[in-house]
Amino acid sequence: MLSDSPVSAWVSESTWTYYGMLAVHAVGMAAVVGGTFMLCLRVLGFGQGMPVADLERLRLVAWGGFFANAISGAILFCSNGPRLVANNMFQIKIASIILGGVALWGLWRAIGPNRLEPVFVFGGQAKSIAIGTLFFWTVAIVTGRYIAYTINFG
Amino acid sequence: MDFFFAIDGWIKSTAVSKLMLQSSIAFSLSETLHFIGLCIMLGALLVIDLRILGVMKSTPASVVLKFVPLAVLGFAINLLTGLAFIASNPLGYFTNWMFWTKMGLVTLAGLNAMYFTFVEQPRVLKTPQGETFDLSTRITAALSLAIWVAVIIVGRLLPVTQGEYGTG
Repeated sequence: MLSDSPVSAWVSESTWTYYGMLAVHAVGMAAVVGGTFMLCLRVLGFGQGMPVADLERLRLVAWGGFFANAISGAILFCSNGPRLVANNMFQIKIASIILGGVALWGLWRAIGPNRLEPVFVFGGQAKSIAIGTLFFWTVAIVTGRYIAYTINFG
Repeated sequence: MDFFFAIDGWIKSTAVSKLMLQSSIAFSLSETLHFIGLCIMLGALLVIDLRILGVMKSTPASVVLKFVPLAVLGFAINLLTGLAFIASNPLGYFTNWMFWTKMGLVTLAGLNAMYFTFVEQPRVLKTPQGETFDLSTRITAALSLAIWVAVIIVGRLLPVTQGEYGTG
């Protein structure tokens, strides 16, 4: 079983390793969601004068944060797998991350070649996708936080 | 310690403290807002500081500084929610060395931001488009990112070193 694995024992045996993983998870979140928020705000009209292509540079930072969180998340999952799977907040969080990723992919498609224009007012389609992207990633943070309040430690 | 006990008693008599202790939603909602605030703040700082460090060169410095109010907004959200956390259990925080480490780092980051605003920013705005900023300006930007990331890490580690007075 996952909860009997060495990774589970390692992350659960000390509060330092457990909260250390949560700290990595928090920094990764800031990189992914922070960068995504800025892209969405630019599409919605904030920061005119900055071409979206420049914000594209943040993609590397966001991907770095995403992988850091996939790994730290997997390690944290090992410590409490079955209870997390049964937790509604965890289920909604994972679904929101998937939907947020799809929305972000759609947003880049909607931006298209206009990413090179410093002053560009995006149309309704791109703006709608940006609002959707903001929504899903915000839900991911909110539900992620509420796992701690709703999980059944048994 | 007597000093902290006195402050603890006073803070716990405030309405904010009572709300944070009595309402289960107040604390969890403040925590959630604290996380959203840190995302807004770090996102804005990534844009500003990476531009200063030489990434995203097609954006003029004056445009990138439009993201400063966004960073301030994120900080304001986290200052207010942070004060609410302390109000819920002042002694828990005051007796936790990790909390004072975090406050020390926030102070350093604040001084760094003030130095950037009053000393470096006027020079940044005078630097011709496409040119590399001064070394001192770039060091300020690198420090900003490094210290705020450290603040996030230390903040998340607060529960590890909390003592006999509980959450802090």
